[in-house]
Amino acid sequence: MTAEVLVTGMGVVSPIGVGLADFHEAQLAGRSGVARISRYDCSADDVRIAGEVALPDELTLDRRQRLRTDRCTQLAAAAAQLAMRDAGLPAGGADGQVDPDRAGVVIGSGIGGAATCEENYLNFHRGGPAALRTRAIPMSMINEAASWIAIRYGFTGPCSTVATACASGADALVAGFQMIASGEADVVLAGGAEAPVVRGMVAGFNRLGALSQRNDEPSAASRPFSKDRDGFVLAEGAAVLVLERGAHARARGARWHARLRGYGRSADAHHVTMPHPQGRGAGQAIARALRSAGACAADVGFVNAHGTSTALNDVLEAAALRAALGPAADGVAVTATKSLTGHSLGAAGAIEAIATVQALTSRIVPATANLEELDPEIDIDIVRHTPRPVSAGLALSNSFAFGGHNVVLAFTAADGSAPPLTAASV
Amino acid sequence: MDRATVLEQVRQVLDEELGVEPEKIVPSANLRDDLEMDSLDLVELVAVLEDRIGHGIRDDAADDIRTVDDIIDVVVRATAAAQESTATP
Repeated sequence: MTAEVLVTGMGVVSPIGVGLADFHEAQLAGRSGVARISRYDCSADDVRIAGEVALPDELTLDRRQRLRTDRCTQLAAAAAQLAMRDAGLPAGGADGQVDPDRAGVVIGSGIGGAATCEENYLNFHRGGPAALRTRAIPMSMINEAASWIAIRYGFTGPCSTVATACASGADALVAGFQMIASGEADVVLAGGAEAPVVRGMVAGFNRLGALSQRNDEPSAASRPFSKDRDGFVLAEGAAVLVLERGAHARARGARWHARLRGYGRSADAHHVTMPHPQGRGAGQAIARALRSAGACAADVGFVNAHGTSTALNDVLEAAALRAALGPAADGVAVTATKSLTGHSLGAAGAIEAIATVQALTSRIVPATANLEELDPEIDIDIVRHTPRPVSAGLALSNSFAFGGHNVVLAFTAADGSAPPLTAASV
Repeated sequence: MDRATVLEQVRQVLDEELGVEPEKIVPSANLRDDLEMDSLDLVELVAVLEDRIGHGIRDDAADDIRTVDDIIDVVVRATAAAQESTATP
């Protein structure tokens, strides 16, 4: 299934910045978004750091909408609003540029309305059924964000959610690509959203041994590929991309940031939380992404790694890249956005898709933060200390998930006929 | 309970729990058209009111609610019925 799928709009709300300009600048400056948790009292807990988003008033839903949505949806709504504005479609289907019946939505999330779930279970166990809020179910549904966005913009094409844990955001972009390639839609709002900075969630991930406990140095806690990494940092955030059929974008005079050229997916079929010991599934997904994009290893300019800062992921991801790219891996710059943002689970793949597109359009790959001493088992070229100029080429963005889901997206820069891009459109 | 007290209570619940602007909450206001409330909002309103007044509101009574005045009627009736049943030996 091939199609020309262009990225005509992007919106991001992340711990390191809200909007394309802030988000890009923070990556280039190496500014971390990890800090002490403010959303609940964490003082007695083993993990007291996370990446939280500071939403400005203009992107915050009014109080009435906030009372009937989970934070996950609120973050998705903000990212969607930015993406639609960036695409020149602020009114959604209402301004005649897009046929609402040909416009779709797909938002990935790992856990959906976590805060709503926790609050209502707590109330239920204390006060019985009568203590549940009427909207407990719709607010905690993992598809609430997608539903809200379809309602907001009046999009009546396909509307869906994918839940493949930490690969959800990237998987949603694949789903959006497929909606366009299959002929089902011309425009798709695709992305990911997550709001997991909830006490039970943080505690749960910590029980898995997945989280960094470097509480005293929040900005140094996320250390992908570093010898002394001790786990990931949980984060919230959302990113939405406007994917658009090439002919549709040209017909309405849209400009585009990049082209989603293809993707590769695989299952580890190995273990629910541990990656395959040889990085088999990750390597297969990378190779399939190259094939899908009609490219070879030598075309790859850089890779936005999954790079979580866990002991297992980083070493196996490096091995997978080495295996899939072969000798060409030597010329490939690799970076890990999570070193700054932390890990926003189902949002991460979409947030990093935007980081990848920004690196493609600016031709500068941001550095992986907190990387002083590289893990000696890692034999790939990680960009560190300062950003690095790269040639455009093909850019890959990796997302690997609990459950063994592997998704690799392949982007190319906007071609020569595209008007100049303004990365700072927000 | 007098109607002014109930109106104040309704106003408080709608503002705190559902985010409805208090100045819009007048006795003649239609819940759907004027206050833009949906059926889930009404269920939530009734549940919170029951909790605050300490008495149940019958489902069939709640079904007929269209305006703020209707809510006041239902609450006043529920309170009176509850008092009557406690007064009966």
